[in-house]
Amino acid sequence: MNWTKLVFNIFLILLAGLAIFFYRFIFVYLGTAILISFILDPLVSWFERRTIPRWFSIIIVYLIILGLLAFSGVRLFPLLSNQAQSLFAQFNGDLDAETLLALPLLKDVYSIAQDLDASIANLQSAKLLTDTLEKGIGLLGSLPSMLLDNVAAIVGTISFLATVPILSFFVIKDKYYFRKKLISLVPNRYYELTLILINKFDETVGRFFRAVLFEVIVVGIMATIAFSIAGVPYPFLVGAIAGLANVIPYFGPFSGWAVSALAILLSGLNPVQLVWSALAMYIVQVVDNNIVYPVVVGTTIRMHPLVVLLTVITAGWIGGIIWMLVSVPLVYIVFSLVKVTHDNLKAFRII
Amino acid sequence: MSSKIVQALRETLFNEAQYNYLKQFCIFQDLSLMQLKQVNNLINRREFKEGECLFEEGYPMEALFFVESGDIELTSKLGGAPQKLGKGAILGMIDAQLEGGRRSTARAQSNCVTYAISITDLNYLIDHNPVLGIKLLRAIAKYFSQTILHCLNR
Repeated sequence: MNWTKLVFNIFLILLAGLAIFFYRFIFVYLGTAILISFILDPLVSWFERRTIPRWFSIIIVYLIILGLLAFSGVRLFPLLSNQAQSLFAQFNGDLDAETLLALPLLKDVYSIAQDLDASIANLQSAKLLTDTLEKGIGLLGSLPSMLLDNVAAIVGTISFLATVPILSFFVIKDKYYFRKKLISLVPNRYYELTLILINKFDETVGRFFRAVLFEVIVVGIMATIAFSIAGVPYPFLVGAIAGLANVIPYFGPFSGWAVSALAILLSGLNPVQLVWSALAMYIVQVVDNNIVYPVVVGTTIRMHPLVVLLTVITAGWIGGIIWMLVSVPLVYIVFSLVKVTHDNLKAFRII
Repeated sequence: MSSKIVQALRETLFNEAQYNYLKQFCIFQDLSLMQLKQVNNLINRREFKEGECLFEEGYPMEALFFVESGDIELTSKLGGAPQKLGKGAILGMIDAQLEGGRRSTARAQSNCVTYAISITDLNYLIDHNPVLGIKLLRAIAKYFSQTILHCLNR
């Protein structure tokens, strides 16, 4: 046994452990930068193929994104903000059980409950309905204050948003350098296997996240148009939420519709609107499942609904809404990569 | 005079010399500086010790190997005499065009230096860069023609 080599390897492992401990706080930053590099790389490569240096291609892409964000900031965000404020205003003390009971659907339900109370002694179903509504309003009313209480988190997010593009710049610019360095560490026996895995990782992760981003935008736009036609209040806000929630298979579209239903009920519109909004969401889903998703992703996520549900619930416990949104794609990607690795380890007779 | 200035600028700005090693392989000889740079991004230098295996028959095919120095022996279970290949040889070109993985085993007969490129990356380059793609495909066709001619003359 070569003791010098062994001691050196142990030293390297210890050094790597120390480095991981030292840099542990920036892993989320680096992970996000890598994710952004996956999304932007095709556009950067497109410019690079037109003989524009890579660093300059990245600057061009950044300027395009900055332009789009500036446009959104001027046109789209104020609209979304106004709609969100109008919706939240309904929870800010203006709303009580009496106001809700004046809404057409609840008024009918309340009158049935009163009739039942008159027929059956001590039933008190009308009181139960009033109490339930009061509790529901209290719960929903705490939402805006929850957002305001997280000012520190918002400031942290701003510093995060400022740092990540800089990290992304270097990740994209030196992509090939990092790739070469990584491959150079691999022994010859595993060289071709590593190439296959890197390419598969590039294809699966890159294509998947690009597709998800594209799908969120397309479904968001389609849902906004469909909800506007169906007469749903706050169509921009509800459409944007529906687009974002669509990332979660099976349950995402339902969540989008649930938000539209909430907006309809709180605005005191005719409950028949619920049917129209459901139809609007259904049409959006048909177009998404049959045209948008197959075209941009190619294959659908083949995960059992029970696995999706368990994943979403677990992610919700661990990290809230953000984790609920990213958990299903992450589980799918990890599963796909493990499968590819297993198949190729067998093909190369390593296992 | 002006051409000398242009040449000096090219060497300063693009560090042209670092891509010249690719020109020793026939399929990259007609590529421009920027095209060589794109290939260089994807290519990896691999060294093999005497007796070490580059790839085995039946393995999945992923990399093309370009031999810079050393001797490599190609054998196949299908029969035929072992082939000896040296400087300038390209390994895996036929396997890359056909499905079914490696059709032969390649083993280093002496210490070798090779350059390798993933066929997935090369195909991506050809698909997304028509000018580069045409040059490469033309060079590959020429390479196959010369190989066939060489076999017929033996």
